[in-house]
Amino acid sequence: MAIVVEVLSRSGKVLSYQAFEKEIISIGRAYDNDVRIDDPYVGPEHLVIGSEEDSNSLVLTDVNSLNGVKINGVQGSKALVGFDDTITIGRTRLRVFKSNQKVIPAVVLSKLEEKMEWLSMRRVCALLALVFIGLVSANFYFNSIVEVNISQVMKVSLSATAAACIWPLCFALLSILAKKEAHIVTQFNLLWLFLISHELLSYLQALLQFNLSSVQFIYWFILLLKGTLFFAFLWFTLFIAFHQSKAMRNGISIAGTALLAMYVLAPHFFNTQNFVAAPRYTSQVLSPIFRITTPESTEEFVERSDNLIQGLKQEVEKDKK
Amino acid sequence: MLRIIIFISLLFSQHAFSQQTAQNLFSQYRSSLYQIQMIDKESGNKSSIGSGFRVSENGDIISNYHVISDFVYFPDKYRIQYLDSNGNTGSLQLKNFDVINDLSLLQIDPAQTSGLPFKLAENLPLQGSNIYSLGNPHDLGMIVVPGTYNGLKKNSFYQRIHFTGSINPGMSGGPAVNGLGQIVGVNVATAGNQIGFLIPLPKVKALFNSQLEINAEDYKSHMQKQLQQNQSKLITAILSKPWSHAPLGKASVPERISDFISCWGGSNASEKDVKFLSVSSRCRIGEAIFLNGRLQTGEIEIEFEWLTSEQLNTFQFHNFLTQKIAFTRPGNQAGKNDVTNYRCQQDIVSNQHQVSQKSVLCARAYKDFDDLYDVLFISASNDFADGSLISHFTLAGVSADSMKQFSNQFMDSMSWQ
Repeated sequence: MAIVVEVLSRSGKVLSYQAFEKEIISIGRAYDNDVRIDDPYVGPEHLVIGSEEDSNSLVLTDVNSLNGVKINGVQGSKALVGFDDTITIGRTRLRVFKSNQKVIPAVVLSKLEEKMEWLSMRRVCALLALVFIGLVSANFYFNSIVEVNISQVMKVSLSATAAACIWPLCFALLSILAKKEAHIVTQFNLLWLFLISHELLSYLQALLQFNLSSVQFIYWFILLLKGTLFFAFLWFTLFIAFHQSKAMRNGISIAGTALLAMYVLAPHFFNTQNFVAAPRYTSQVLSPIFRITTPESTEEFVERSDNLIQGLKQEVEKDKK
Repeated sequence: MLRIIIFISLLFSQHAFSQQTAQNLFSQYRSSLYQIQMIDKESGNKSSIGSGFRVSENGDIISNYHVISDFVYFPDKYRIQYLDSNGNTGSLQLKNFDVINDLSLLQIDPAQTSGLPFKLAENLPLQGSNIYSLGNPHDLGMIVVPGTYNGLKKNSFYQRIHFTGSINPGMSGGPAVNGLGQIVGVNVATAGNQIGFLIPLPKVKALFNSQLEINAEDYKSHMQKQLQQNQSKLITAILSKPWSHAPLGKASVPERISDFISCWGGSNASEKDVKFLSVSSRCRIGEAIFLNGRLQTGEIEIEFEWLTSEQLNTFQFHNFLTQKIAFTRPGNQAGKNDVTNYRCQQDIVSNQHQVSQKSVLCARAYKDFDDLYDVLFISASNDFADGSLISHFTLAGVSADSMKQFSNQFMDSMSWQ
């Protein structure tokens, strides 16, 4: 039965591993060792690992090394070691065990991952990027009432696009650092989908606020949708970037969304008692072609002001108390 | 030749006469003219000054409301003090006031008075007569300003005497008298160089003759009654007569809704480098009721603007409209202690002439007075892809009922030509 030697990082990640079809192996800095470790604190012949019959453990023997051996942090010269023990020699961490060591069962391949296959297509990515640039350009063009030329529009939309690219690049980098595949196309596609949906929701908000009278309700409704959208975006980004547990992913997504919500909502919860001389209202006007509701009559509109007056009366009452 | 000599001598004698009258007036009524001071109880210093004059043996003194408004709002914080021509000071009682006409009736201890009180004239003088405004500007001592009575101000809801002569700050509340020294009005405001306004005799008489004494705890309800009456009279006066209309772009809009609301027009046709055409008409009542240093009411404004553009496409044009109506200022000045924040409602409304408008109606309530609101309305019409009529009005200090009546009439008044 083979002996497996793993070199570990400080955080316990496996840096390299070797398997030996031998009954006994030597570890040290000298070139004639089975496992050579390039660490100045490790002796030329530092330790020997031998198999133990009828047992899953191995026998570790210190070969009179200068700096000694630590097993799970405790100094020792001879010990039985296995998969669960960490051996420290000099500044190097090792794990030695027999190759019949059991591994954890395979993780079920997520169907979601297969379904998201199309997101890794470059053509889709290019198309979505174009749609996004188109939306930003159109938005800029229709919002400006001064002379606009094509270079200005390009400047604005491309700089917005470039700024947005920071997000997927960051996550791709993090994935690489976590020894995962970068999935950069998928990350980009997710970003475009998020930004395009966000833009479309803003258009929906304008359309609804123009047509309907309950502008406050529409504002909160769209804000809720945007919040949910962000949560989903963050969730999928994490899903693609790392393989954490579901609970962890949900937790991070919720925390991220909550953080953003705090930033967006803070002005609504503070400063509400302040006196403002000018009225605050939302006045969305769109071209008549976007009118989808039948207008109210003057009488209906004016009668509705009773609610306004009622609200003001209550406010004055509250103020007096 | 003789005629010329007579004319010149007449001119000279006129001048000599007016000088003499001014001197007489000053010496004769010196002792009945007072400086009115608001004393901050806390610091003991005067916080503002005005003028006042005694009109009866019983010690009735008339002044402006705005001179003593601090006392009406904070009777515990301030007291009213007089300073007479001999430098004596003493306390005054507030008996009654009229916020609409900016008058107050004060009471001095009769034992502290000397000399003749002013008499109220029987009638207003003839137009062109010399009248004299007395007062105490800039805390410099009593002065006499001669001037001309030019009749009642035209097109004014609150009657005011138009006086050619300079009324300065601090002369507020002082009397304006005819050549016989009889009261014809009370100084109230200046509209710039050599143009002043006086509160006419009938309003002064009405307050003096009412002989009503208001208790400190009833000041606010007294104001409330006057403000309610006035706003109802004002709105009824505006709504009772049919409004005349004038074209503005593709629209026909109310032109002058009342004699006492004056209008101006404007356009940006002369401006270069604008991508839209704007023609507008603005009307204002131009008179406000002073309630306290932070609160004025009684303003009425209406405004129309026709906007059209050939250069902007319909999306850009409507974005521009959205920005254009996004901010509106209230018509009157008010502070946090006096009014609530505005509350607004909005919808697309189609009026009786099938003019569709995205309309916003906002109101804020007066904290001290029941059923008085500042109202603000703004709308942008939504019938053309490349043109829109923006309509706007503000009403200050009106009841909910007045607001609804006015809004109804205003919103139904626009039509397409």
